[in-house]
Amino acid sequence: MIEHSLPASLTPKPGSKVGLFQPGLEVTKYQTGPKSSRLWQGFMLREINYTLSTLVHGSDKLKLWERYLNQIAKDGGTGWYADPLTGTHDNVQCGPPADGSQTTFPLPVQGATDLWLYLDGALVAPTEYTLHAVANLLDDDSAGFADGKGEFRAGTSVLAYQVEGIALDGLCSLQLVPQVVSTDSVFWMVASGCPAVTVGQEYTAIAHALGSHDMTLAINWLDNLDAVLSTDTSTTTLSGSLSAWQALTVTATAPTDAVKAQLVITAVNPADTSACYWDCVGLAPGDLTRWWLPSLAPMAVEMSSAPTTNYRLLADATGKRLSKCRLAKMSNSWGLSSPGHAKPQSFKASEEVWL
Amino acid sequence: MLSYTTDQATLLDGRDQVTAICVEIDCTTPLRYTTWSSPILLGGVWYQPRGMDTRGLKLDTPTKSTASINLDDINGDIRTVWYPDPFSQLDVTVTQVHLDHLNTWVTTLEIPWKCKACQYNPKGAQFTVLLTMAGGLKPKAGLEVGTIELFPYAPKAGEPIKLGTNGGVTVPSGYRSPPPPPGGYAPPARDTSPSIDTGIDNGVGTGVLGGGPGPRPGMETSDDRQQTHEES
Repeated sequence: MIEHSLPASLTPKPGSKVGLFQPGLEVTKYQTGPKSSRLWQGFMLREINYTLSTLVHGSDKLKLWERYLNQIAKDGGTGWYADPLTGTHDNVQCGPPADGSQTTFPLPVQGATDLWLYLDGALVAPTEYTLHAVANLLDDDSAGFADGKGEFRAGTSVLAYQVEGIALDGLCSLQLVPQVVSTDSVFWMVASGCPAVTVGQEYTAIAHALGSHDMTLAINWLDNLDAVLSTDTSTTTLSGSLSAWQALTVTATAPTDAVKAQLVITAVNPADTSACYWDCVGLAPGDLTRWWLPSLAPMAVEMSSAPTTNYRLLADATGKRLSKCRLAKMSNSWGLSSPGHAKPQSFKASEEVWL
Repeated sequence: MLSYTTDQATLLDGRDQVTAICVEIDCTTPLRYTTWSSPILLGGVWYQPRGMDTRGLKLDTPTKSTASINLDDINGDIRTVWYPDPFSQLDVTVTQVHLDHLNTWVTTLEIPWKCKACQYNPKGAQFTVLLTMAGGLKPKAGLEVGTIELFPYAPKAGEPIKLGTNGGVTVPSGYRSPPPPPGGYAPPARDTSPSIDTGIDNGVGTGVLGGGPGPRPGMETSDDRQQTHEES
């Protein structure tokens, strides 16, 4: 699942506002007391009113802004907003209610300290969870291809290009062009750029593809000499589709002596040399299958056992809070403030109760 | 230092009572949603949080026979259920719950409704369930309270009470007096001279409504009726 974030280069201007609100229930007068005695929600939510800094014509900022609006507005989707300041936050939602099997949850506070976790209202002991610094261990370029191909390199029988326009998140994606028919086209990360891993820790790799070939995603576990110890490959091979991006995931545990995880994407036995596209690639700790751009990603909390179904994990923490919000209606995305300068309109977004 | 009794402490705790509304639509696989921000376990089943507008519901003393609930359906999962399984005439139960000091949700009010119709507003991504009070408790025009199954022919509040085939008397919603006794308006006969009310009860009624002959022996008077209702 793709979690779009407001690009970091789009910064709120002075005068932008961040608040808390209690949405939901308006309780009518009842025999148990007056309306003013009610708590309406279990936790308070963010409400932001932002005006972004001026966008200069021709810069990527205007493209990013419009692309972002398109990506989050599709299907009434949500977008993430990072607080510009560090603060202390209570009752931050760590993902949707538990499904009984998931053990890893996002912690939407970057650089969290003074962390207290609550599961269904009860304090969670620190021995019952592991805190991970970030929910996507790649760098931004390797995860979103915004500035080149990142740490990925063409392996065998394939050429690769960064292309703008076709993208699942942001402006760019990676185009792979098979060079030899009926031979696997392999594309992988260079060993020096692979993220470090911990032996015995579970990881989930995720990538999204668009194309007419069957495709797979794999993790090569590398030792300290960059030799491949073993490989775990996605159990599902994507049937090619030019109509929709499809997700591939592989979850595996780092074997003994593993030092790095090398992601490998493959166009399997292509019948022709038509291009395919990849975007939103990530490596997350645990069984988290959500994708964020690494620099805007939350932390992750891995519980020692899967919480009971329907229990919600909440956190108190100090750090930079991230909020998953839905935009209120906006009539204009920007206005022309002076020739060559576009001024984004103010917009309002309200944090979602994560379902 | 002051100390509180258990009862006092409970009351003090109750100053910030937590209240939520739960809605159950009794389709093949019941849909259960709550206004609370986390799932609620109630009666052994889970109600999932969902954006809902329940302001159209009167929870204290229902005075209307229709109401509506708006549910967020951005992801379309309610519509997915609704298309093959129209909700019309399905039971819709609205429950008000409080969180007690033991962290348990307690039902404080439960109102059964029936779904009259549904509609979806794509602009606001809201799914509206129109409700009718067919299954609910509500005061009838005669101040009797019961289900429509118990009083299938009882008029609802605001509905004209039909006397014969022509006309009727509309009892507005919330009207708290019994309907007028039968008899209607009895104009004086042309050949009768106007009489002066002397205050002497000669057995002939003088009111406009309920005129005509006075009460027969053993018949309940309006004063008797009022007393009966006050006692009940």
